[in-house]
Amino acid sequence: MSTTLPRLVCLTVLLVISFALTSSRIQAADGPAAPIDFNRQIRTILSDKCFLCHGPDESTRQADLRLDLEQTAKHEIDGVAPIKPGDLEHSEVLNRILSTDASIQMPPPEHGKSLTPAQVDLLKQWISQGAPWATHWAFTAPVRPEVPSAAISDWSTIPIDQFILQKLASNNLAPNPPADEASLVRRVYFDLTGLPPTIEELDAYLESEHPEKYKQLVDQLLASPQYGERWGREWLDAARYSDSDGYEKDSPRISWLYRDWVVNAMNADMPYNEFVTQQIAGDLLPNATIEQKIATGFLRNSMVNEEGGADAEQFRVEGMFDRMDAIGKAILGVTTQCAQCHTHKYDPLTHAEYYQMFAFLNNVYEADVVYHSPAQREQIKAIQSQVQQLEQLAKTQRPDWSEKLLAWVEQQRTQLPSWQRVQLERRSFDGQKFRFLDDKSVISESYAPTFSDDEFYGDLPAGTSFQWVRLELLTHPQLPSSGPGRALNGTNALSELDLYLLDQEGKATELAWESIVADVNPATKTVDGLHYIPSQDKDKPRTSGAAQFAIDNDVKTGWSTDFGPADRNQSRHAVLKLKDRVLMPEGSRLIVTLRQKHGGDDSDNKENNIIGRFRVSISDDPLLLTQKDRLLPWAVDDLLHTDRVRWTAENWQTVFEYWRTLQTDLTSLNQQIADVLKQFPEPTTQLVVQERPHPRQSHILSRGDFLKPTAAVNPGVPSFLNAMPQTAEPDRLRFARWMASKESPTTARVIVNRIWQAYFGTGFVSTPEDLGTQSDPPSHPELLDWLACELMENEWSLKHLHRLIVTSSAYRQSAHVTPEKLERDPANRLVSRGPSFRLTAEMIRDSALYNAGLLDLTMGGPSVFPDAPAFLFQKPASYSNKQWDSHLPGQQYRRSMYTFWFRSVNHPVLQVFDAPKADVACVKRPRSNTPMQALTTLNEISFLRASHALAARVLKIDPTANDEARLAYAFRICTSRTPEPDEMSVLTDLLKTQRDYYTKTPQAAEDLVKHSVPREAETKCDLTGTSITTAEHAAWITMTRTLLNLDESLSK
Amino acid sequence: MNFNTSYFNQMRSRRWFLGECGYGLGSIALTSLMADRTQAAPADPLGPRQPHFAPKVKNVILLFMGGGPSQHELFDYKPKLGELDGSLPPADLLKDYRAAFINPNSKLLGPKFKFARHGQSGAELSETLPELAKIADDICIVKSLKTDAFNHAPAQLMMSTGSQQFGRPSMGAWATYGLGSESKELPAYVVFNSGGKGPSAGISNWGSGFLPTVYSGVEFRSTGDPVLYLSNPPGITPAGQQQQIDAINKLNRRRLEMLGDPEVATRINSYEMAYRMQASAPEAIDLSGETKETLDMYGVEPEKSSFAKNALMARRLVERGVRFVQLFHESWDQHGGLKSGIAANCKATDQASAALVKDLKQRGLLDETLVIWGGEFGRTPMVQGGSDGRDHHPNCFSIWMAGGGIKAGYTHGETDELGFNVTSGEVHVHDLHATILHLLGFDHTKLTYRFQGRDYRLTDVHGNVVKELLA
Repeated sequence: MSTTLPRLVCLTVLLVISFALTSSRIQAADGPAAPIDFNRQIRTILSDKCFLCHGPDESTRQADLRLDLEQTAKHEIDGVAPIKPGDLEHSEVLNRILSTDASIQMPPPEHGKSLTPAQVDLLKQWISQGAPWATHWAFTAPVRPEVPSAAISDWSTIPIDQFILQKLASNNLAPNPPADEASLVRRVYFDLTGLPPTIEELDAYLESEHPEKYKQLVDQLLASPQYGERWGREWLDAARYSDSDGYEKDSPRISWLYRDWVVNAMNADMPYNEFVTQQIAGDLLPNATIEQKIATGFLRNSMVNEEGGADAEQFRVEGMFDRMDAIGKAILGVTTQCAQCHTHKYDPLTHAEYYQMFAFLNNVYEADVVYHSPAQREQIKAIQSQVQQLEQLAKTQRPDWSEKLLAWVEQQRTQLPSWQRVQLERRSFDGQKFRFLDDKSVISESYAPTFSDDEFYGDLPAGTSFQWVRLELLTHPQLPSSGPGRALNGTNALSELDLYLLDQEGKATELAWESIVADVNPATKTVDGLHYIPSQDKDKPRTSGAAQFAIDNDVKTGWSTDFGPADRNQSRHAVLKLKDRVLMPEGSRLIVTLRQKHGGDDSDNKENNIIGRFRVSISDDPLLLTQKDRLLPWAVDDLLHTDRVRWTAENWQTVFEYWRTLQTDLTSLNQQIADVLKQFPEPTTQLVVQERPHPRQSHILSRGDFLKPTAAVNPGVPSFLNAMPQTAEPDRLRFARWMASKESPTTARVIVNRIWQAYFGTGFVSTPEDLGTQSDPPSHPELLDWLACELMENEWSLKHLHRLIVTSSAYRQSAHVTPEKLERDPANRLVSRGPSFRLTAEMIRDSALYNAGLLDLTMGGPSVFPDAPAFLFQKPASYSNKQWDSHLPGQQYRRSMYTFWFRSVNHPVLQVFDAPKADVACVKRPRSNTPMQALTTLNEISFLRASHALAARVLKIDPTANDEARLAYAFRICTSRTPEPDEMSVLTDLLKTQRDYYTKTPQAAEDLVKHSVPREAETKCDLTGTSITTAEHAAWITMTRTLLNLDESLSK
Repeated sequence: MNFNTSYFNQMRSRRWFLGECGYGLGSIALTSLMADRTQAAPADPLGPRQPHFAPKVKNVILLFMGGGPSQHELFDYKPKLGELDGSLPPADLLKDYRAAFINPNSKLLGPKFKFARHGQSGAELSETLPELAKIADDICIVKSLKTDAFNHAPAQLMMSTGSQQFGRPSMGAWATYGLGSESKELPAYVVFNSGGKGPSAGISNWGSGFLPTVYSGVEFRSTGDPVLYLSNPPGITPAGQQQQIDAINKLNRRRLEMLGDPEVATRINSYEMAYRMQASAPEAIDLSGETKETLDMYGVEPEKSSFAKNALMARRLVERGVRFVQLFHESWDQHGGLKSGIAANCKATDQASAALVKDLKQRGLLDETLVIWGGEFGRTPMVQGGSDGRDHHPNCFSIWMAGGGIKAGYTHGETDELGFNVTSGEVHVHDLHATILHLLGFDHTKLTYRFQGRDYRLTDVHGNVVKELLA
């Protein structure tokens, strides 16, 4: 206790004592006093060494001392202050740092955070200079700085270059000469499109004498569709885009429309502020389009845990944390994670402020939208217009239709039976979770079993009598396509509905049904709506269809409400009649059992077929005695319970659509309409957010625990960032606009920094996820701000930014590294040379296929399954047996960004080259260099196919070409340059040994050629009918394999 | 052809090559390894490094029993639970208790197997662990583990990375980051899967999180290619492979000379190591040199994939300088079929786990290796379903450890009479991590990595070394 006590006591108490102990050691710092930059040189020291205990977080603050605020840091008592400007002797912080007494030394020795002599020296100089303070640079909006006038001949005078030159000069470094044209063209092709130039493109450029040819090339590349793919992929890392849910099940999800939205937005050069706004709140924009709704998929890229027993609310909150984290990393450049549990230790973000931001996002349903492609939308328009015409015809045939309809409505309203909703309570417990809503409906959440018997207690007052039971299957925004089922398309099949009476002694007696009627009775079909084959039903296939199936005591038949895509996702209902009237005895309960045995054989792949939301009611209303063989559609029934005076035209249409089907003289027209509606196209879906009509109250969660809500909080933004204007827009939209505003200190800087990082390997700030006080100072703070302002003042055009960067002389330098530069600018932070480094995972695979002529440049659509070792997707390598449909056509040669991305089993080629797992937002990929990568590009099948196809391509050029000419051609395809004589000699030597071997060993040649033949592109590489032997082809495959593996082929 | 120009020689003299040329490997900034950012970054991220203090062990073999083995049927005998079989648990025990599947207020279920004491230490083990019983004096049983999560994926992440949230480095990644690799031919961190399915938390169990990706575990298989893409395609012989890699590296050396970028040197090294691995990895998993006694001791049938085979692989890899081997056997999730499931799992793992300890011991490797057997959580004393299942339970579970620095023949910690809560000697997962790092020579509070402006560690802000477990 004695050694720790002094630190806990208020610092000021000790000032005098410690001053006496240490004052003799304090001397002015040596050397000339160059002005100290507080943000760059001092704040980083204070933040790292002191803020943990003397920073923003009150709960861990020691001695009631804050050193992150100027006012408290300089607060003087009796002539002594923690930091006393210009007065080293009376600056207690310095005294403590210099102290050798472990009981008062700061930082405490056991923290292991002692300052280096250089850091101490800096602090001394700074205090001597008056300890000037400044707001953290990244927390005030950028102001366009003055451009330095540095210039050298043959360098451009655009501001980027002047900033770079100035910095180089101050470090006594000179820039490199310009890169040769071929290297530059290769660099800019990869940087803007992710693909290398073809030889033809390269030649066209080299041969052109147009003075503006480089600018023209840049414009051409920025306008190419591949630009959107290359830079879209960059954003998708930050957006943690994936095609699966993550966690244990890691089931596939449908989210590729979001991926395509990103690519399209990039290609359209959507202003970055709009790009951000739509992803956070596109659905809340006035008259939001389907595309704007799709954009909110950004928020839904969070993982979802539906493992057995998972609490839906717990993992909803985890998803919320993930959204906050992704926004922090991708957009704001502020680390938010700390403040999930407590006030940030370093940045001024409080625990409460975290949950105020959280509150902006908390009021959503995790919904999905149904999407029809533009062609399908045309088709739907045509269908609707046909239906409309036919309905018009019906109205013409029945001029009195409106009177009759009204009369029908009035008559129906007198015949609505009254129902008593039954409050249900869970009886059976398995991995599935149920939430009981206020309207007495029950929603199924979390784990979705493929087979289940779900039992519920139903309590009714003793003496209640009833003979009818109503089961409603209800839609809900959180169900797939709104439900009412939980199968991928929102449907379900109910195998049996059982009802029991549980007496006081605990004995259950089954109550027998007499009949059932429903509003839909689809035709009988085998269970094949989902993409699986139920393995256990090979002998007797299970079927779904009419409601009768729910009470036929056969679990192999079930009631489905799936009436096809035109009206599949509707609430539905059925009314069941008991053989005998029930009179509830004292102390007895009902047991309602939903037997659901119509799923697939694997719950890990969303093969369930269960009810999503339902409600049970009872009735003894005599009106039910005269019920018909078909119920009113649920929607019509629901409307009839409301005041018809308030019905909209749409409501009337709903009622009309049903009414006309009752008119026997319209049978033929009704049939025609039904036939037309059968043409309704199958949609796809996209995960989105949908605003809830009734706000969800947010709370501070103590230690981030969803079970420990404390104070209620309302939406609000942190005080250290820009203020949020008050507008009448919905909260989440205001939040989006606030982030995407010119007043935001970090938003523009963050994206500029990340783009710079993609070009040069490291951003101005080396921690792109964090521009806060713990981040290293930017390498070129003025240039960062200048570019941020340039972006904002040019309508947030990212293409403008790209154009500026790639046309700069800084970018166009040669990449050559001298030992001197390697020592003084090892990571090229100063841009003393042009950027050259290993390509990204996608570029490596894409360029190999492209060089071989195999790459399929089709854009967008569902993700694809290029070949990969099958065992990876099977147990026990994978938790579940995953669908990897590489046998389907068109899967092998698409650009790598379209590869289906399972979070738990990444495609090995992309994974080994550091593509992110997508479990959390990634704003900086590592760039590793490993033997596993070498094995991949040497032996993985897509690279071997590329070698095969490239060899065939090389062999097919001019038949008179000699080895050297062919080698030079292949070399140039891979590296964008012609080999030098010494290189050529290595290659010809190798070709000779390989040719000798394969000529002597025809079987080996055949094995290699056969193994590497590109599936689905066999004809492209077919050499039959030429004089080229298999041995020759094999020898050339080893040559192209060698070339595709050169460091130069793998680098930009 | 001679590329050894003066510039090239100059670089060579600066020891940029092969053994030492990991400089700039992947442009990774290896900051703050020892919480001191002023210290120069190590040149080679996989070069062997010294920990904070003299380590007790240099290798770890983690036998990860995925799914949550039932302590009631294996290590933590509760006669009282048998007596109370069929009755409801005390209400105060269930206050604020959440269960994954069951209604917490479910009947208690007595242990399904007999227990007996074994060895001089008198360790209490169930009859399903006959082989472990024979080495009872070599192991340390911990009955008082505790975790924070009761769903598989988060709980496995907790065990593997110290956090329920994704994105953190795994234990093996931390160990490799701290110690580097002793092998130039094999990955430092190797993972095997066996059992019914893969682990719930998937590859994140052996991921590198925010650490450089070179520290990720590499999945090995005991049949076929041990490592993905290890074999040359049909028609390319090792000689042909060598000729091609030689040509690649000749051209790469020339590029290194022209460009001067040390990353090229690393690539040259990577291709050479890949070539060496093509020979050494198949050798490492080739059991033809193992005696029949050894195969029988583990219960290995050489043609069959099994946990036993993976356990033998683990020993072979550790012998060859692999730092961290993780065996996942995901099959312990006995919501139902408790008795037969546990029996089957023990049949699949008991013999080989015990054999591994014996084998390491007889080869003098146990002193420098830490073997850990355990899952992500325990199971409820309450029944699930009829009378033959248990739900997930985070409050207490049992593991065992053996090897250098571990107190052998010792049982640590106590739980209450129902095996519901820890009553003494609680070891949180963070404490276990702190202890493992301690045995590897690390102060767990100082093995850190700067990410998002913060020095992260395996134990986050928690963890205490459990001194009682140490020899």
